[in-house]
Amino acid sequence: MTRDALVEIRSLSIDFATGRGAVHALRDVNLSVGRRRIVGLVGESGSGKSTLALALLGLLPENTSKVTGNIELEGKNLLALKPEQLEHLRGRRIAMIFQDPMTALNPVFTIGTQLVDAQRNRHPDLGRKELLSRAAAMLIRVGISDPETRLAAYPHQLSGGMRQRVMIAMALLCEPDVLIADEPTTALDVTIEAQIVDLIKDIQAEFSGSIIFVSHSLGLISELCDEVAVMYAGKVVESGPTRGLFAHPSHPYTQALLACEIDPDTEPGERLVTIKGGLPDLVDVPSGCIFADRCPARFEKCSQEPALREVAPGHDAACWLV
Amino acid sequence: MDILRRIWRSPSGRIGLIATLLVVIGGLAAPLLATHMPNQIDVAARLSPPSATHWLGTDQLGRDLFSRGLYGTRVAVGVALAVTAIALVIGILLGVAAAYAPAPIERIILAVFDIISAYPTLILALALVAVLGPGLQNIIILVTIVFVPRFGRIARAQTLTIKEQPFLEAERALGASGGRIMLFHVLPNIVGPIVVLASMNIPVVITLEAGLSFLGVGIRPPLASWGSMLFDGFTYIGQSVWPVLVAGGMLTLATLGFTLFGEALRDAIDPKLRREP
Amino acid sequence: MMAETNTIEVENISVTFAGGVQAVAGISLKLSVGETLGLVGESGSGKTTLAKALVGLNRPESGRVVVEGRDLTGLTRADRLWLRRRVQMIFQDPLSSLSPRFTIRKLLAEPLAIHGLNAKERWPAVLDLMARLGLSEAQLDKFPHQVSGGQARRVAIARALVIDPSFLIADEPTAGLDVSVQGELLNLLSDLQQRFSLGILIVSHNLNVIGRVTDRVAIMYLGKVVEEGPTRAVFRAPRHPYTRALLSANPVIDPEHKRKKIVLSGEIPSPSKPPAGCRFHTRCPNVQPRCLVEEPQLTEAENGRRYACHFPLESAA
Repeated sequence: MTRDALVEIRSLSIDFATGRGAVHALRDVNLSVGRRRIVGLVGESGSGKSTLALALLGLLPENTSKVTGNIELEGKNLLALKPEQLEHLRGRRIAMIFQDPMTALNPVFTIGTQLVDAQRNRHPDLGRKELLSRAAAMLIRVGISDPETRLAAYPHQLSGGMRQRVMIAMALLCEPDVLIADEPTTALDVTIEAQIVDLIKDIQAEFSGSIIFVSHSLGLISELCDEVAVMYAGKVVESGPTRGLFAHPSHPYTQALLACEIDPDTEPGERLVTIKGGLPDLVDVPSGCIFADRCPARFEKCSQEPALREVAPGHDAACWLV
Repeated sequence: MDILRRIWRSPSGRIGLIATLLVVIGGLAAPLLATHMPNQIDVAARLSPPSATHWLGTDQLGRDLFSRGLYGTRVAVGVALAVTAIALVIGILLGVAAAYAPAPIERIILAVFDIISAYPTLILALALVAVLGPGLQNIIILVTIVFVPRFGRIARAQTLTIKEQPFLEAERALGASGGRIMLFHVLPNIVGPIVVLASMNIPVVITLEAGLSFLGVGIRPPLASWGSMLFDGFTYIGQSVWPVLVAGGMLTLATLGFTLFGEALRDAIDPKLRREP
Repeated sequence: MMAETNTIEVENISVTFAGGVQAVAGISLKLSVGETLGLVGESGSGKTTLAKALVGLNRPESGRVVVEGRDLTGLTRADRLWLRRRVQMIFQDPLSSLSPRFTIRKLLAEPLAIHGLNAKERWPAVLDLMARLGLSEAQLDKFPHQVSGGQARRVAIARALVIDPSFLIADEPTAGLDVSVQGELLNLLSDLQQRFSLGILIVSHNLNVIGRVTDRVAIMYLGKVVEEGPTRAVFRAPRHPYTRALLSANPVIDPEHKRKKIVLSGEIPSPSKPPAGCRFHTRCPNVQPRCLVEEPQLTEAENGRRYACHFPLESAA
């Protein structure tokens, strides 16, 4: 881990308090995000990928009962910061794009006002006029023609795809070092999704920071990301460069997930592959390998927990078989 | 039963439940509990303080206040329950009808609701008394008219929120008739808030009835009513405070009890208002 | 033409909503028993509206729906009850499509009561169906919100099937499911199809699902079917530019970036103001002057395929 990492997550564990006890949402997660990289976090519901994204932003829910480990941004531990220092970081160095832009956009203010406000933190010395013209330029860059009309519009007057472009513009106006995108295309139609994915690729080309792209879609991750971390039940079970990982998936969970992807080219009538069983109980986490219960390759050793081990340069998997 | 347990768990709910039970049992069992006939006059013992024969004293005609108070409970709770029940049924019918009816009919129903609620409750009640005349039965009718819009509005609002729910469409797709959908799938999902409103409404009706009787346009003497007892009590307050204390105390107990009970019921029924332990 | 008794036939139907939005604009389709038809489209394409018209939840303003030879135009109450024994639907969000104050037991018994079937006699069949769907009897006395999303979905399917319909309309049956379990549901649907020889219509925006489990597919855009045919043929060599763009936009695992994507520009126009001429012309990469003025008709082509384009793509693409 001596790469030029912008974000370094070290043995991060997060618990949430519930009526049944502490839910161990993340356990001992390690991840490093290099500059100018798009890193994909992929996993199913309950994998902890969204929790990880929120932790990076310092926006964990109120019932968070335990946070241990480090989240370092250029060597500075975010978890040690006071709330107001974190707030200062959000909107300057870290920005987020949400799945549903409507929850992040305020319905009673125009797009222009919100784009201006988003920059205040970053450029406290600039006036409204300058900030508006910066906003207009950014709208053009994210593919919105006639920015003047759009700046005067309210969020509900825009289509879903347009709103997501506005969200991206808002995030970029903060000139962040880290851009977190949590399922940004899940609510969009597939032809619009393709446009947004294109836009993110374009941004990447001229963006000096890194992008963390959270998604349940292996297809999207494979098309967009340089590196990928596969999460399962609060753990990173495999991580590595996208090409290598998809070409040689080493963890049985990754292999199973890839097998579940429906390939339209296989013969109809063939049974679709599924992963039997369900997520383990995250309150009373079973000992040993977290995937053992559902793993087709399980053997005696799986009652002990495997650590991440290198299978190829930069490509790690947490399985006794590698 | 689960709801009762939840009400019992909160201290104010417990007080409300006990007070409500006391009032309801007192009213129901008035003939058994009363030590005297409510209208039995004993001029020799007029305006006497509490004693062994008259536990809470007597009024200006020497009538036993404890017994009159109990019978007054009967009237107060009886009127409140009757009014609330009738207003609830009519309100639900009109409210659901308004939500499903074509726009012109909906507008007419809402206009009627608006007209009724435009008047202050007491003024409207007084105006209706002038038309119908006083008396127990008329009091029930006119107070019901006053309260129908409250139930109607909330029934309509609830129906509107439930009307577009996918499960109603799913029932239609299954072949369920309009009546079945209404009875089994709409009603059970709108009654919760309405029942809560009803329980909160009972003390309001009790005070309204007492107010009308106090003004002499409600329950007619010699039928015992807390309102008329209060009125008589105030006339003779220089000679004895007991009539006012008894009638006022019972009125307070009843309204407080029903209010606390209603609030606890609301917290117990409405999962969105319920606080997680 | 002889009325076929084991099909649903839609003839040139249009559905317009209050406010004048024509969600379905003249569509003809056929679904046969034992066949799976996919209906694909993006938002505003009218796919769910069309599906609901098949179960009589939307009244077409023109055109006919003929179920097993019976024309549903001017449905009477008796017709409707009959129709619903033949054609059942499962809705997109299973939890919100189950009446919240009914237990699973009551939910499963209700369809029998509605259709006047003897619940006692039928109950073993209901239990058998539950077992087939992987639901245990322990769940009978639970309320919908007390079971998992996957189980709620199974309850919704069971409810649709307890009255032995011939056709099942499934609106986005895999929406919100994780990949590791969506296969399970699709396997289940195909088992049920064989067991009960159902005709299934799957409405979905997920091209992978449609490509894998349907025999035929119809692609919709702004209230019209733009292309229809055997799924494999359509997916291998789309003739309509929209179909091609849709297939190309579908994310598939491609870490080597071998595929060249066709990214359509612009937004999907509002169905309340569809473009003149070909409805796709505002986004079509191959647009020609003719497309702006003349609306292409859905025409028959080789191998039971149909498409609506003046300048179709080469078949050997």
